[in-house]
Amino acid sequence: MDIKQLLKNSPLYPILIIESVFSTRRRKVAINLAGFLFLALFGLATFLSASSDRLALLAPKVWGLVSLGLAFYLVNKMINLYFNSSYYFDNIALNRYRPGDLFTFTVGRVLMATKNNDVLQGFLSANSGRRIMKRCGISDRLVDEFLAKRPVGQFYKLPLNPDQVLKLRELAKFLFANDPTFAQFLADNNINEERLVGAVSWVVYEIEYGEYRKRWWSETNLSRLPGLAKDWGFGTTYYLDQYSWDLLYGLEFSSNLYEFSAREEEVNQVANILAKNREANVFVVADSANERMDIIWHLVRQIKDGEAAPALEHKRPVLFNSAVFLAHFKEKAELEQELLRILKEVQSAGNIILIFDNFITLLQGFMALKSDFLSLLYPYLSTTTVPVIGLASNDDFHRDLESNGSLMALFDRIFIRPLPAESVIRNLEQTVWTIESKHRLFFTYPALLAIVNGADKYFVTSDSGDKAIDLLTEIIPWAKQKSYQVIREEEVEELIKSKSGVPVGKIAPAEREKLLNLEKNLQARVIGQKEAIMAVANALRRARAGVRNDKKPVGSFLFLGPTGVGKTETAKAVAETMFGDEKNMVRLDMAEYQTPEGADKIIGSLADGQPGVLANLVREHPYGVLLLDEFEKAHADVHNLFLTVFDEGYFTDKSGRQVSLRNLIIIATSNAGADLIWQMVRAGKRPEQEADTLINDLITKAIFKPELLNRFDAVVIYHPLSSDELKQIARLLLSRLAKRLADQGITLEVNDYLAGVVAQLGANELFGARPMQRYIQDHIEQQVADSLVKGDIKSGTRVGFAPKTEAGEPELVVK
Amino acid sequence: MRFLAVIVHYLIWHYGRAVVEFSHIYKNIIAFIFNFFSVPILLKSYFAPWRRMGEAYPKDVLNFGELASVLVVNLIMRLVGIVMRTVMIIVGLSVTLLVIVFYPIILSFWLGLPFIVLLLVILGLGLLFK
Repeated sequence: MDIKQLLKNSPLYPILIIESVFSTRRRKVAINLAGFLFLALFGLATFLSASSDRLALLAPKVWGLVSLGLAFYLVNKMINLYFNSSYYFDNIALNRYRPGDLFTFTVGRVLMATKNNDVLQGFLSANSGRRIMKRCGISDRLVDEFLAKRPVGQFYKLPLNPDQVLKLRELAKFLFANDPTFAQFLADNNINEERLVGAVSWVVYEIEYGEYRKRWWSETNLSRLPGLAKDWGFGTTYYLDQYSWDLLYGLEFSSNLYEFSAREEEVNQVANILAKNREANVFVVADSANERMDIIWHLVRQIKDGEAAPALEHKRPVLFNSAVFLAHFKEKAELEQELLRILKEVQSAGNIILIFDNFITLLQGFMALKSDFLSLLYPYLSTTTVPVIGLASNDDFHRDLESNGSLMALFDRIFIRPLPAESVIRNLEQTVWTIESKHRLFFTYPALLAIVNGADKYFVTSDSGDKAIDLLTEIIPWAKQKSYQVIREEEVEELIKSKSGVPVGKIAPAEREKLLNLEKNLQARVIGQKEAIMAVANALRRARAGVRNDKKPVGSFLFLGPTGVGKTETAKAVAETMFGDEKNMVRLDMAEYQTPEGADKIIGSLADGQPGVLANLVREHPYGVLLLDEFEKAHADVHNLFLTVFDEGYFTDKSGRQVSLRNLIIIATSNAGADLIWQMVRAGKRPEQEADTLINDLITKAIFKPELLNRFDAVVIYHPLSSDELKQIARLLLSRLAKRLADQGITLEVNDYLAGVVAQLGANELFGARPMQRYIQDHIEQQVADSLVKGDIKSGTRVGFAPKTEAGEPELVVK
Repeated sequence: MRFLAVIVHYLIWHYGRAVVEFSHIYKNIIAFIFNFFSVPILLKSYFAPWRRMGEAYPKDVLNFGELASVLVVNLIMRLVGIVMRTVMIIVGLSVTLLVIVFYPIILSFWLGLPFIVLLLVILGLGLLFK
């Protein structure tokens, strides 16, 4: 297929030629230059004509130049108008097409840049292609290197047919599918087809958005300009203006058909309610203030653009600042009088939509002065003259408003749903343009995806519905501080890691080392229990490698075994190894939730207005290890709650908000089955290998339901510790004491005798190694402390322990 | 030859489609000016009181003094409204009319533009090489 011939046959050819020979930017420069030259020459010619005889002789020549300059200016203008006529009137700028078109204008520009029919070369050389590559995070240098290296003269049969016009998106997909070298080049730069298509869509959207806004002469753009005397038919609002913000004039914000709105459904619902004949009031409920205001802004835009229902035409949405209003008054009477004045004013003005920015604040503010806000408001709510929009968070709405029947009879409710990921990306794309032009930063498309995914994955407990925008906004000062100009996926991951402490993105060499040596690191703290540690280590490696299911917690384990065998110690070791510090483990004593009210305590209760213990704990510590101690003691309802948690990675609290546990490793410990474990050990069996018998026993005794046990990633059996293992633990604990004493200059000799006696006398069958620490404290530390106080030992002294009695009780010996 | 083809293509556009598009944009601008001065809204609310100002009538309908005073105040407010709106409507209509009158002038200029350019080039070259 000859590309040149294809272009010549296209109806777009004339404007493509103009654009390639005399681009929009060049035309703009030429017009300005010609205009300036004309004016300068005109001034000179006038001066010469009025000057002395000799200079006046030059005047005709300069007038000739003036005439030519004006002609040049006009010709430039005519070419520009000719271009614009096709470009804008046929919506070619917006990549729409006419009968006979085989491709869009943007594709046409790629084909114009094509040499030797090599379309990929044209794509990567055209401005749009270069921009797409940059959005993919691939620099011009890399593209040039790729073009220089690849075999010359790749020919493709472009998918052109009159029924389906070829757009840039389809062209990019076609090149990706048909040119393996291109696909490989992109893969080397971590770009797959989905990312390429996303970047193309973003660039095309950017071009079309920019072109749309240039069309000032369109009916929509002209109608957006504010007119005169629009409000002469309505009353003034002197009192209201002191505490409010007129949203129509208070903020100049852009709006046009291209303005993306994923909120259209909710905005229309609000508009329909406000257009009702009576009780035109609505609560807009969302957790994030930005989400609530987003709806309001879209409504304002509809009214401003004349797109709203006739009943809302010429309405003035006014945002009432509750905090400012309340701050003005200390006396009940004054407060009430002012509110009534405002409401009367709104009623007589006839065109106000009263928006309370925080309905609950107002309600509580009035209550603080022992006044009833609602009873003052009620008489106005049933009329159409005072349409009210109340903004509230989910918590506030469910706790304080929903139960008020008479209020609910006068208000409709709109609950704002979370935006799907595609809409969030679209919103971000628009926001990024503003940030880029304001802060001289450049975002790649993978960075944008990393923001959306990162916000969703790692900031799940955030109240904000638009946390992706929050994360994007946080990047600006952070990037400036680090002198980053281009924000790629790696930079976003770096920020997320620094904010959450959770390692994300590619595995760094140091972290790889840590993951490969997980067993070794865990065993340094947990003696014995090899099988248990191996099960945990494998699960953690799966999680970090990205193989795990994102919709579940990082890992969920049930540790079964007698007391004092290392279950809690393993949890601490996991927190230290994976999250840097054992402080990243939070513990919930499940014995406190034995009653049927246990579940309420955990997820919160509407009755007492208290948030749940687990909900709070997880919101404060969204990353790390969650230890559920004595899990078997919790009530069955609590166990049922954890069915969802292990399955979906979240639970819903009483106010309807989802609390995510997807960034936590959940470890439940239990002594249930300890008797059976002991019996197995006494019978010479290895409990780790008898897991099925043990689990069946727990199910038979109705301690755990089978569906709960099945949901754990692993049920890990801890065996009672052997005397050798107890001795190792004793040695570990004693070495910690030795380290503490070494800080004071005292050397403690930890020998076989001491470790043996601590293991023998400190541990017991019932509590395993747990009492050992207490034994060391009472019998070893105490003797050292006494001697220190008496002055028998001091810095530089070497001490050891020897048997005091026949039973082997240790006695301090100064060496 | 190619240059000639481009010129012909341009002239067909200049005297055909461009005139239609020019008229279309002009219509948009006239509509904008008409709405900018809010002529339709002002006509609709022509007799309404100025910014809805006014006083409530007394409950005691036999209190003729009070009734008359309120009546006068409200009448004045309506008169002020009528005067203000009349002024604005006149200004709006005048500007709209002016823009409409300019249409044939600007259109004539557009139709003569290729000749004007040609004349300017001839004149310029003539003066330059005289």
